[in-house]
Amino acid sequence: MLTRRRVLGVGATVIASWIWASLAVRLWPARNHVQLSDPGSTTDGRYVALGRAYLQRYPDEALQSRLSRLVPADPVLRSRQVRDDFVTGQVVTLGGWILSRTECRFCALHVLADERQGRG
Amino acid sequence: MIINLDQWDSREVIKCDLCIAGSGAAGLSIALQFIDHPHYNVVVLEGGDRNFSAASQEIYQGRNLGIDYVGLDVTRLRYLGGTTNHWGGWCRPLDSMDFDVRSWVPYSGWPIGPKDIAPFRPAAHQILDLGGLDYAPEIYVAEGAGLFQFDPKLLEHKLWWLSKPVIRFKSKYQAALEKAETVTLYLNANLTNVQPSHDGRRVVRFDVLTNHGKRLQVRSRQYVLALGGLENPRILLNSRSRHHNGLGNQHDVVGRYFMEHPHGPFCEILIERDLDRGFGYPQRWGHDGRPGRVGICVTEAAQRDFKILNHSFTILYLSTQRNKSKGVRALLDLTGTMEDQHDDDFWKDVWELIKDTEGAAKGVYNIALGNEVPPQKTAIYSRSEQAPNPDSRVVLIDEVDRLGLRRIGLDWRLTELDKHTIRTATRILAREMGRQGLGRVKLPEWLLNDDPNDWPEELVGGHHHMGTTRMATDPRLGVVDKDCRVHGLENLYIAGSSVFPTGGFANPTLTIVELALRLAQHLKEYL
Repeated sequence: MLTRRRVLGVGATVIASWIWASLAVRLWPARNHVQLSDPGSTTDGRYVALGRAYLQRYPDEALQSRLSRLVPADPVLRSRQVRDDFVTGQVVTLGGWILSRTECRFCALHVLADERQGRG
Repeated sequence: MIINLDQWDSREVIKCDLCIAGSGAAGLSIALQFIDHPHYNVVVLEGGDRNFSAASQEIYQGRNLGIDYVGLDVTRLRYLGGTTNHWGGWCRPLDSMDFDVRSWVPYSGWPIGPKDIAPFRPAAHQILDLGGLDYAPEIYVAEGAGLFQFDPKLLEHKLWWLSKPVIRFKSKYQAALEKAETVTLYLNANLTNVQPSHDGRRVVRFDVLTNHGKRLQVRSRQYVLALGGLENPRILLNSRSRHHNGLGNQHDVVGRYFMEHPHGPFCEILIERDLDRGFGYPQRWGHDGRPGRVGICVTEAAQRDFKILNHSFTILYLSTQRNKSKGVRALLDLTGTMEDQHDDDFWKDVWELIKDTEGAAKGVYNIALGNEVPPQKTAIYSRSEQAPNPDSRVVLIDEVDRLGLRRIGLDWRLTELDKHTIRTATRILAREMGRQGLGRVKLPEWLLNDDPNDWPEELVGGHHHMGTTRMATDPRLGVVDKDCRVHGLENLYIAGSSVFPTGGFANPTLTIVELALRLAQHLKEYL
């Protein structure tokens, strides 16, 4: 039976959803879409895991200064280099994922930076 | 005409000019060429009835001895029309390279080429209700649907036409067979033996058993086995009155080289943007109203360079409708805007909404902006050619069916070349998708090792049974010659995919019908 209390409850839920919606776009990046050419949030666990896996595979690259020279700081250049990696075969298989070496190095760079700053 | 042997007060000897065992795609395609032919009397033997029956289907039971495979009585059908009663309608011709001897593919090469079967394609298209002959994928581009721009040295697009609604030979051709005066189809006519002459050079009769135990003989000038890739070798192996190894099996080839098309979602994919927006990969309707599918295929050059078999990918998507979260669905139900409102439970919807406010919020945001809820998961489906392997085979086992025939065991085996093909083709796809900024591909664990015996549970075949009475000029490497005549026997032929020496990745039905029509023409010349 439809009571005032129940209608108010549903109404509040609906309004809360709409309010939540306006916040959601800022709090959640679209998880189905991946901006792998420029990994955004380095606090995303996937990128941390990827960076660590890369450093484990290639421990000789665990130097922030070295990786900084190999990975362009400019996102446009970095994105271009990522795509070039797939052309030239500079790909790495990590956990089964076939990835550009540049994007792996980018993730590794930020893992090293976080560790240096005590955040790793 | 169609006669049910179980209800027929039959004479014991049936005489004809041509006897075809099997009423599937191959058998009926041949029989149709003789309807109302002025000179020849043709008999078709079908072991089942007009409709499915468990009793008939039980004859097809067998055992899986190798890689896990679907039940042998599930993968094929034993009644009028055969396995066309459940096929999927996908049609594509074999590629030119599929016919070639390839140095990196042992036992590859057909004794005939594409030009030997191409003349029969128009008629095959008519039989299969496929319409025109244009297989160029560009016609999809013309419809405003884009395709990815792959490196043409590595990947290219190829087209399947779909028989849709899928043609069932029984539905389409039963009436014509009923009216035919020169073709007689016998139902419940169980072929139990192929009897050769004393010198073993000719077949003199087919032995038939009805379901009531009555025995008949069919005596013909020419004989065709069109029972399918599992049953063709079975009847040859069981016909042992003159040779203890079975008929046509002097070199122990019958039943060997069983091939399937290994299928499966063999990789995961992460997409950078919606792949289904403006791209022509899901099924679309071509310019003349025919449905088709575009696949992504490894080029001949890449096959040669990487020494792999033929391979294709098709892109599947989950419906965005199905991807709406429970919260969104509940909200839309409540507001009466859900297209497929399936639930009148008001309070259930409210509860779902409360439980999944996050999903509802995201969904509402996308809907408010007019975005389709993006697909949660995109799957890439692989269809691969299998390398011919003599150890992948159909054998007789000790169990006997009610007709007195030994059943078969299927020992399906794959090799390192098959795994190398799937892994390499997937890597090629991964690099191309990365190059174009489309996404990233993940290989599963089983593809990262070289163990030829490590295959996943999700590996399936396409119900394509090929190679078990393969075509070859040398009788040590094949059961039939280039005319599909059994080596050493003047008047026994085999029709169907069991004669394929290699299988490409294309679904076999179109080629089955083309070869059947070619055989029919040959038979008319020799009758």
